[in-house]
Amino acid sequence: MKFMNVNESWFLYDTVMISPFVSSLPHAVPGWYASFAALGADDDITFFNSRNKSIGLAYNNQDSRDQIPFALVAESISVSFIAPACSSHLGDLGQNPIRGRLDTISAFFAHELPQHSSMIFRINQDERLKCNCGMLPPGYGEIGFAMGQGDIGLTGGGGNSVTAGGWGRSHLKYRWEFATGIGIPRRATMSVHVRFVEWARTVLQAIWGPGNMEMWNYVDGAPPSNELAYLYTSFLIQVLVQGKREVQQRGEYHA
Amino acid sequence: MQQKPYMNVAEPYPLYDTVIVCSQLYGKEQSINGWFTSFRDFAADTRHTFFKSRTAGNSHLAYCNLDSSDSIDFVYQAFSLGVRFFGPVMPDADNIVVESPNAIRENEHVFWMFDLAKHCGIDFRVQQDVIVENTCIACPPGYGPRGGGGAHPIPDTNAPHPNQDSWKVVTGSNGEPVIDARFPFPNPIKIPRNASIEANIYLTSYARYVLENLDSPANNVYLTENQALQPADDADYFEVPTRYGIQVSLFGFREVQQRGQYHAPGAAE
Repeated sequence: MKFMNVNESWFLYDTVMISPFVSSLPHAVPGWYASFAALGADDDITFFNSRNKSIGLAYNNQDSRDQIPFALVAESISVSFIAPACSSHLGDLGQNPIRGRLDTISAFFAHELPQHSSMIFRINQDERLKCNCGMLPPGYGEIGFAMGQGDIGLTGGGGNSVTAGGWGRSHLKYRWEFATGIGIPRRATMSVHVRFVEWARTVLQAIWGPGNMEMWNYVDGAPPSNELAYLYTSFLIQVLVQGKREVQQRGEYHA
Repeated sequence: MQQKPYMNVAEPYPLYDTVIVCSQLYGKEQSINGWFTSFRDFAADTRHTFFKSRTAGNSHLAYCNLDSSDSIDFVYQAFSLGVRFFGPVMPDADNIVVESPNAIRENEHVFWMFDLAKHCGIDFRVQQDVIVENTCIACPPGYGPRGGGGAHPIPDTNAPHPNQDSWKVVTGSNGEPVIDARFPFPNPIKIPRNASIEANIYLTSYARYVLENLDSPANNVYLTENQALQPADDADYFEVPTRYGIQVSLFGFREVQQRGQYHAPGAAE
């Protein structure tokens, strides 16, 4: 039977995480950041050339960290700024009775920062798109918007604010499209470079966080107010290329 | 190697330019024409021009992606036009009282993002031809955050530690944040290489009246690590200027010389 490639709908994506959780990983993930300050100190946030799916399939589905392992026709691209919906960021209580708190950083990250970021999309040596990140909405993510009144107490244990939203309409139809597709050969390199304007870097380098979200401590059972668990929040920047990959014909079940 | 005939190819591509209003401009931003450090200065000009003086090099790729400040670098087919008014998600404030944000202005970013477009007109020109004359609210950008809303504001902005209370957050767009929701050119506008283009935004007297009476943009006052880890009375805050802007964009196709002939199944020929 004659050899034939077949098309499969495919997403190719890579993610940068910003969270204190990064510091607790036994093996450092290249290009991940433990704080906003570290993110703001980096002038060039790169995707598709340093990580692979070993960091977790939710964050990356590359088999090779710096090559496309199959022929791919790229049909659309997005840069997504994903913030935690548990948007009350609390500091460590430590010896002090008052806990530092910030409720607005999720909204800043997801709704303001994309406007002040740029990206360059490269395939091998060619720059195929140079663009403001705000023009590249993901077309997926939580919908609706909620920002409730947070806890007005100072020691935690009360209500927390919620920020659920994102950039663009949450429908895969609404993405930046390459109308005729970009044919990328197997083993080509592909990269996306995200940069922030200096103003945004100034904010990120000075701001505290990401902080902690407040949960009940499972180990201690039904908790009194001093047995809350404070767990790291995580922010993500995710670049996703949607298209079709070409693979060898398989599953040809001729009855 | 077999020679193939010369051919231009079309690539989806945006063109955009931005006016920024921010009390502090950084580095090379200080020399950019048409950017302002106060609403009052911004309102002093009745007309703000785009695609005439800024480039990706003298501003930033996030704000402008022109290589030439006053002509198109390639053949371009424009399919749609959009204007986006953007501002901070949280209100302007000052860090007057050392241990807390103060003098919080809860309405100024709301006016800029949602009301100002109702009081601005826009025209778009290619060479000497006026292609569009419209009100800005009818030229939505087709991108931006979804949803919209505001949380409970700070009950007492003079309280010593309002950061411990919930902040008002405002987010949203003019129009649906989808690429279909822009001012369309059903017959695409074909712009030759090296042609000049220009967009102008005109402020009405009402828009100028409001803006010239504001002392902002001020700052967003954020928590620092020190504030997070120490008792609030002994802590400090970080303030950063809020950043407002207007971004005019064209979406369409540029024609470039054939390159990157990536015929998907194959490797190098």
